[in-house]
Amino acid sequence: MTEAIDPTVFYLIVFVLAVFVGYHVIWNVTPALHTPLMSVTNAISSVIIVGALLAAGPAGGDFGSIVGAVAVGLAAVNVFGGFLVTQRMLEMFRKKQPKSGEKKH
Amino acid sequence: MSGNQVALWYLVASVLFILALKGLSHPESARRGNLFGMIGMAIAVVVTMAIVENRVMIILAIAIGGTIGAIVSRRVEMTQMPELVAAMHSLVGMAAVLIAITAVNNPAAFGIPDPMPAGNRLELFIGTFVGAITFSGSVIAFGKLAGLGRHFRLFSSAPVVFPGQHLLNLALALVMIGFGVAFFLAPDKAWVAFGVMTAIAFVLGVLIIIPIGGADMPV
Repeated sequence: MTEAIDPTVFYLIVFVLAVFVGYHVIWNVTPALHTPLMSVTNAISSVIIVGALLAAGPAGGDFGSIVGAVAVGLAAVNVFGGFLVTQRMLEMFRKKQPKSGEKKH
Repeated sequence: MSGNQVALWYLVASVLFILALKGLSHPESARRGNLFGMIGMAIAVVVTMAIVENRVMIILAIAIGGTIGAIVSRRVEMTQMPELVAAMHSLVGMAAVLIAITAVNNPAAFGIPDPMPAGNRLELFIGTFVGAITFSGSVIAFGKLAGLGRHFRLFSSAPVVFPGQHLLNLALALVMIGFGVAFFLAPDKAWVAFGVMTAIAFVLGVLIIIPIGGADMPV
C-alpha cells in the first residue's frame, strides 16, 4: 500500500474510539456520584480553552485575538470554577472522622 | 516545541481526563479523579501557551476568568451547585461559538487554508450549533434550577409547552441545517449563512429545554 492516509481519517478513528471509551467509563458510575460526575464532565469540557488560546494566539490586537481572548476568559471561569465545584461536592463523600463539630454546608 | 511534541502532550492530557472520569465511578477514587482532571487541564493549557504569541492578553483573560470562577465556586451554597454548573456550562457553549467565529474570520490562525475546505466547514457548523444550543439551553437550565420563574416565564420550573411546539422545533432544526449546508457548500466566508445558522441554534437551545421540568434539569 503506497497511498498516504488523509489525517481526517485519523481524527475519525480517535473520535469513534473516544465514544467507546466515554460510554464504558461513564456507564458504571454509582447514582450517588451522578451530580459530581456532571460537574467534572463540565469542568473537562472547558478544555475548549485550548481552541480559544489558538484563536487568541496570533499576535496583534485584531478582532480575532480579542474575541479569542474573551473566549479564553469565559472558558477559564469554567476551568477553575468547574474543578473547584466538583471538589466541594466530593468533599461531602469523605468518610466522616468521628468529631464533635459538624461541617457547615 | 514541535507540533508532534504538542500532540503527544495532548495525549497525556487526554489519558488524564479519561482517568479522571474513571475515578468518579467510585467514592474512594473520586477525589483523586478530580485531581487528575485538574492536572490534565493544566498540561493542555501550558503546552498550548508554549505555541501561541499573544501571551499577555491571554494570561490576563485567564487571571480574570479564573478568579471569577474560583470566587463564585467557593461562595455558593451547596444547594445551588447544580444551577452553578449549568451557568458555568453556558460559558463553555458561548466560548465554542466565539471560537467558531474567529475561525471563520481568520482561518489562518488555525492553520486552515482560506477559503476553507469543506471538512473544516462541516466541523465549524457542528461546533457552532452545538455551542449555541449549549449556551442558551444551559441558561434556561440555570434559570429553572435557580427558581427564577417568577422573573421570566421561560425560567419556570413547570414545563413550558405550547401547541405545535415539536413541529416548530423540527422546522427550525431543518432550516438551521439548511443554512449549515449552504455554509458547507459556499466558496467564500459565507457570514450570512453562518450567522443565521448560529442564531437559529441559540433559539433552538431555548425551545428544546423549556418543556423540561425543573426537577429533570440535569439534562
